[in-house]
Amino acid sequence: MRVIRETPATTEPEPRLRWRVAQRRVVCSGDWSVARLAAVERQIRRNVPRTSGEWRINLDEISTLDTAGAVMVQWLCRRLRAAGATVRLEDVSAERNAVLKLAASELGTAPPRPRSNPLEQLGRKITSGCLGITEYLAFIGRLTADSLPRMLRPHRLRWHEIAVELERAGVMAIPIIGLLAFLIGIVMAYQSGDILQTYGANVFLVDLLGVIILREMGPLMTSVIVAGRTGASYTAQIGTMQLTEEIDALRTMGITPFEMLVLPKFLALLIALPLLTVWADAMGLLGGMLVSSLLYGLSFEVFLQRLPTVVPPNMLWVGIAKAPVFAALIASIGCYQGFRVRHSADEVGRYTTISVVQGIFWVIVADAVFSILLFSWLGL
Amino acid sequence: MAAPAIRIRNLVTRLGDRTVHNELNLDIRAGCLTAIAGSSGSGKTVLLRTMALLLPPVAGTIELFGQTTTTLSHSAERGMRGRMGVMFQRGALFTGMTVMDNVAFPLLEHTALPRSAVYEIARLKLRLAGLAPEAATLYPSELSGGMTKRAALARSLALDPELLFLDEPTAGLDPVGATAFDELIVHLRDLLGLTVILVTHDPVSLWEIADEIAFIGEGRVLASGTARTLARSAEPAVRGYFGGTRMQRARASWDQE
Repeated sequence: MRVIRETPATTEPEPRLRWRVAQRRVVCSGDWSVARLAAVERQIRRNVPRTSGEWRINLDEISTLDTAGAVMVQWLCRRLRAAGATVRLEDVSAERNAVLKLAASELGTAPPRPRSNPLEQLGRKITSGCLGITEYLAFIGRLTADSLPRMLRPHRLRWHEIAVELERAGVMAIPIIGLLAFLIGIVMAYQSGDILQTYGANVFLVDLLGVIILREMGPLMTSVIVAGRTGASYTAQIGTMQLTEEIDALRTMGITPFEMLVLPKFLALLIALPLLTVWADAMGLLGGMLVSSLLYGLSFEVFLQRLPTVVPPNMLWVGIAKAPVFAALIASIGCYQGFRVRHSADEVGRYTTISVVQGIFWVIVADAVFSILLFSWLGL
Repeated sequence: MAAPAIRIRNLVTRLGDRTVHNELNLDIRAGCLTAIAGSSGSGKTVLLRTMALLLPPVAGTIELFGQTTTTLSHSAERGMRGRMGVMFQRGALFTGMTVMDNVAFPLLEHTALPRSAVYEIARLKLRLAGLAPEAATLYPSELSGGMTKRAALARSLALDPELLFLDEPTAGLDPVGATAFDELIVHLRDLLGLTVILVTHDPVSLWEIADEIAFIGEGRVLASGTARTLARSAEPAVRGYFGGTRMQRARASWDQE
């Protein structure tokens, strides 16, 4: 039995191999334990002579021999045999022999996983990409099927969960969204004011800021932040629950995870995003007003008086009307990606990334569609 | 007699506000299979985590291999960790790697051996733990409960530790599998000269494989010794634990043998 070493491992001598070629003998010495074997392994790989006849290996001077060391001894034997020699281990103690035998016996090698060729990989990527859309649609379908009965009886909705999600996705996002919208307002006013000033058209700053912030920047900025903040957390939460089998536990209780987890998130975001958009609009305009009054001689009064006359209320409503659509996209993509997690912690990270990227992507696509639809067909 | 592998003196640990261990003293002999028993919530796993350097003690000292753990330098601590293996209750295998990569990972991190050697050693560890070679390429999510335990054991043995910590190794295994696992632990202890520390509730493990049992309760070691001596202990909590029906059945079958 090995005695626990009182002293730190490093005081033992380095593991060594000494070749006595004339005597056909290899003397092994030192500490053959796993952390220090690299040098020995190199020696075995490089220094085995071309030879024949019987070689003897002496292990008496080895102070510590662990299983990794035993594997190395067997490598040495195998190399010598491959070089044309026969090998004999010089009188080894019974305990060491047990370990050495273990390392010598044929270690079954596992059949490697079949590797797919590049063409197959490409094909798989394309089909999984196409199937991804149908899977997403199936997800929406199941979500609708599970949610509708609840929606028709609002008293059975999980109002508590909705309130919790509303606080996390909405209330707690107020500072960051307010700050960023304020800064964007400042930047836009500053950049466009400079150009307008050269034409003496300072006052049009109000028109410009009103339209851009209320109609585009407010909802878009808010959605992008929410996709990064809330969409990612939805994916991570549901993905981790998949790994810990919490989702399956819900299923066994007859509770569908869609109704329990997804619907409250979905509804909460549907409520939170338009409200956050209004908040972002207000803070963005405040930032714009600040710059206009400080640098371009438009006082708060002038700004606020002109704003309703040049920016029709439609602009505000168009902006706010887009928000629930963006919310639906972010919530459904976030939850859907969470459910795609199956096996590993890696997947949680991967699908969280996908969730944010796709969330932002589809929000911008939807925004472009809105602009074209509303502007060219409805004249808004 | 050789110095104890682990010497714990006046250990105090807390989880939040709750004091788990209060002035706990324990010696663990080298080369022995020591079981830590006690009712649920008595702090067995916390003690194991403290010994495995995962949880710093609030007060008191732990000596591993004769060195006090609280004053270790960073590199000494890393070296110390290389000399111990921990098998967690639920395996804690890395879900993104195959079983083989799980076992090879600590070897690749801690040694300068080339991949071919590392995988050869890892294969040996898988075989030691009684896993079929086919299991090597599977991912943790594809393993059964018993295979997960064995894969976790193989990984904890990767660096040829001197100390092996096992947290409820037989929990959740079928009786045949549990017996086989117990035998495997004893076999490995004898073959590799390990010092094994085992947290368990399994009456059969306590009666049949433990050389020594430390019974934890009220934040300290209430009694220690073999199952036979503990069953006659003066402490009512210990007697109650070992006098339970399941314990007695395990004892009866042990006596028969």
